[in-house]
Amino acid sequence: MATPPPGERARDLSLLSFGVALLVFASPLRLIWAADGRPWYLPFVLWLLVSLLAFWVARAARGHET
Amino acid sequence: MRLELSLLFAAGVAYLVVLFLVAYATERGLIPARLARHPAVSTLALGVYASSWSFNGSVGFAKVEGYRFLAIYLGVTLACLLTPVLWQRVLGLTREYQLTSLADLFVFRYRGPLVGTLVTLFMLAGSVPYLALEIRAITESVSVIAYGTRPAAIALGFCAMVTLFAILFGARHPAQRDRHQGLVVAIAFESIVKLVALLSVGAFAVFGVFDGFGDMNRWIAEHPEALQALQRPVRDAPWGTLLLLSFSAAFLLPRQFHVAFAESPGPRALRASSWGFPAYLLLLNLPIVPILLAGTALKPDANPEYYVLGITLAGTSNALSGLAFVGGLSAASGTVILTTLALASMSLNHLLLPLRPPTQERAVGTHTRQRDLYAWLLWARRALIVAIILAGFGCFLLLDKRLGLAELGLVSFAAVAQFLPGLAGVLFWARATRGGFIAGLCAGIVLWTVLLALPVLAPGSFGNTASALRELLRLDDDPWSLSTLLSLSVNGLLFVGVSVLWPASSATTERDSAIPGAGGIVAAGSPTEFRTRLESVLGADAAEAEVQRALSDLTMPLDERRPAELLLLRERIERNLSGLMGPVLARMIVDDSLRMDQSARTALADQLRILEQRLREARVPLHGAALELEAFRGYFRQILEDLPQGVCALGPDTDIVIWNRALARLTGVQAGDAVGRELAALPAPWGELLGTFAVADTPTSQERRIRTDKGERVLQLYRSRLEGSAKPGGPLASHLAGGQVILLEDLTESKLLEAQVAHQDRLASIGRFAAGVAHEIGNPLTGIACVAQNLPFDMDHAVIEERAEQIVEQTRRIDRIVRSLVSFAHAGTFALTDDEPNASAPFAVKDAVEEAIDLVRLSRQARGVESVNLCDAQLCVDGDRNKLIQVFVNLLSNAFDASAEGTRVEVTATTENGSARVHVVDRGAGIPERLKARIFEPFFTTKVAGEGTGLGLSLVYSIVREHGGEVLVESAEGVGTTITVVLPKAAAA
Repeated sequence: MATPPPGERARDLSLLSFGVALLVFASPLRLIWAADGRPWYLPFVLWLLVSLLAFWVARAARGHET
Repeated sequence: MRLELSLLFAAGVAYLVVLFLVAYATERGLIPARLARHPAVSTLALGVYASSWSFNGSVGFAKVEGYRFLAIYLGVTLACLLTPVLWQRVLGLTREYQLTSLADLFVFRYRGPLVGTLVTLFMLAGSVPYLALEIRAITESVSVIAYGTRPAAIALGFCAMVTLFAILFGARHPAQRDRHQGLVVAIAFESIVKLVALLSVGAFAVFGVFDGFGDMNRWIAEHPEALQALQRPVRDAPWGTLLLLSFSAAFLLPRQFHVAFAESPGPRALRASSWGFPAYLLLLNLPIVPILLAGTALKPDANPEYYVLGITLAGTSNALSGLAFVGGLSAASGTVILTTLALASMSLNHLLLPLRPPTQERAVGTHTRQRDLYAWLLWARRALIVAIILAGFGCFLLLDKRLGLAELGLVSFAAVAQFLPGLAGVLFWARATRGGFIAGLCAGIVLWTVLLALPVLAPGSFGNTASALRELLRLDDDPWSLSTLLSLSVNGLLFVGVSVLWPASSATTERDSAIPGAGGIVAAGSPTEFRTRLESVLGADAAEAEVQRALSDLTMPLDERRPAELLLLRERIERNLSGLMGPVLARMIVDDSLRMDQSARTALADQLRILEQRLREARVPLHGAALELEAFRGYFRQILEDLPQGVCALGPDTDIVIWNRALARLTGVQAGDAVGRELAALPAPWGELLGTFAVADTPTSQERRIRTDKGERVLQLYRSRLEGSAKPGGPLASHLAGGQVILLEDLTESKLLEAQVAHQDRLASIGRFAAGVAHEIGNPLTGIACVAQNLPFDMDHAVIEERAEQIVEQTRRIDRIVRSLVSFAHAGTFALTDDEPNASAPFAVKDAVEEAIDLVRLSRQARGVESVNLCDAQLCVDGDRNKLIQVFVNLLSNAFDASAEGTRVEVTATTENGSARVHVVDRGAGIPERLKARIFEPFFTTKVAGEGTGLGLSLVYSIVREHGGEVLVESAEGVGTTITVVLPKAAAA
């Protein structure tokens, strides 16, 4: 299968990351990290991981700046 | 331990002075531009999102809503993940069309002043309470940590300082299109200050209030209800609406739009912000939980919204309290300054200017003076800044003091969220209409006002009625989520419904999708005329400056007169004016001053050129089929550009549409200078060459010799008309009808090579003739010698005369031989010069054949073979006599070589269908059937090495084809061979 052009790839990764972040923060999955007894910093760790996703998308978008 | 008010005042003033210095140093270039424009700076500037609500209110919000407070920042993070899909597209539009605010963006898409006015008024309504929130946060911060405060005075002082800063560093230029680098750096500096302040208070909470993380965790273990209070709201209540609100606020809040797009240095910075901004917000929110826990443990005498300040009072150092206060001050001042600037820009473009456009002249006493447009705009913007901050101050005075920061913040967030459907239409939905946008937004505004704004901002009779309505609709269980969802849903449904049910008129669609330039050309014929026409609206100085600016942007000369370029200039002026006074007024001015001549039609070349330029410049990426088509267009264009032959496509009016690289190399005329011009306007000799070939009723293929700066060149021209090649009725059919494409092939090199080969062949022939030449010259020389030896003994005068006559006769014979040899040797040298005696002209075939026979007879092989020239003396052909003699020499040489001693070679000529057919007939061995197909191949020979070059018949074929003739071969082994040369007969023959 042909590799999509850089712009398309960045957009695809962007939507994928957005979906993952929605799943973590906006779906019922949040019941897991917000359950009683979880460490207070757990939401921040997840946030950090999502920020790393954003960094990954930004790297993919490099070289396709309009 | 509380602080003295004077100390806080000093700290606040000192901080604002530092802020002034940072902005001033940047504007004066004391901070290197490389640093000031670094992506980290614009990322930090985006941190203006974190207002007082974030700095102070987050702890209070977390106290009530637990981890739901994170939704205000996680929504931003989600929005940042969509940077390539959302932010970059908006940036592309704002940069390309000089759009400086959300209102500009909507007006650009949905057209009409009503759109801009509506957006601006609603933005003001949604944002002024936010300004009040920031002012209140400052006054309440002071009251938390200082004695003897006077809120109104503090608020007024704060407003005065931020107004001064906004005017000095945010309204330095008349146009919002010019970036305010000092302002951006100052806002970035503020983001650092509030981050440092909050992290310091967080560190104090962990290490000052608790004894490190271990102690804090022990406290949490002992008080599990504190952590459960954070986690439970996330599990028990939906927070999708909060995520949606902060998602839209990330780039739709006026201050966010201003920093992200209006002040953005470019896509690179935005790409860095896509991860840097969420990372910044993460760092900023890390201390919130420890501060909340510390506050819960300490129970300071403060509202939880001000625990950030309250817990610092438990320490022994005033410095931390001062730092926390400065952090809050930086959050509030940054928010107020940027929100005000953005609103001022919108209000100027969409409220003030449409109501009261600046006139060119103003009355001064009894006479009028020309108004300075730029100064007028600058002062109008400054006045609006003052007015908006005063409105915020007034709102602060009227606000119910019991309202929480979060409630006020959410009112603004819910307001800007109403723009989401419209933005989706801008970016993703081409069928969205102005009517749909206005209908949806109006519904959103009404519902926002009734269900969200009035119950919070007007708790009186209006507010009570609104609250009752909310209760009636059973929205009170979760008023923010349900009211926001209801307003957004109705807004979106009306937007889509109206757009679908009442689509844009065909005229509007046609106007928007028309090929640029198809609507006519600019009536003004030069940039100077542009300036003259704009003077009546903008004034002389501004008109001059705007035309110069547009010319400079397009690197266009002042004497430009090409219609397509002037169309681009008009478009650029409109864009630049849009950055100065908004798209509505810019369009009005340009439409009025630089009218289009609808009766004139832009040439196809110009339309294509503008279209291609727009595609190249387009910062909004194409998608789907459009992207594929654009890729194919680029592919085919590249093929044309990279063809080794010159390609010139002409429009119906013989203006040049395509001029590829090979043609630019060949002619020395660059595409930029050729495209859009008529053929006749090309420099010599190309204008005449192509012009005559394109319009004259000439053959579709022609070989032409021309003299250029680089010497003489031989070109083969081909032409094809484009009629009927486009689909009838298709969008391009009318444009292509009458067009044509001309192909130019440079034959100079191959012609030189051919001439060189022919010359070599002639030299080889002369070598073969050498022995014969010696013999033919030797015989008369011997005769001359004999006659001369006897001459002294002949006394009779008559005999002497006879002997002298014999000598002269023999001399003539020698001269004839030498002349024919020299003529043959020099015929058609391999340099292409005008001196070359090879021009086409009619000549008698019989004479040429005779001359060839004389030459061939010199060769050894010709001895013993009889040759007969039976051609009609009257038969003439058109062509290069010397080259055709070489043809006959080669054919006769072969015939003599093939003939046995005592046989005969005959040359006859006939005419048939306007052609002369010259037959060279021998009675030789004939050509074997298997070799017939190869005899015209270069270097093919059946002779032994040294006897032949293998180029003779190849040259015969080449020369005859060059004359438009052909060579036919009939041969039978053991019977002989007849080679027939068919040549066009001379017209007079």
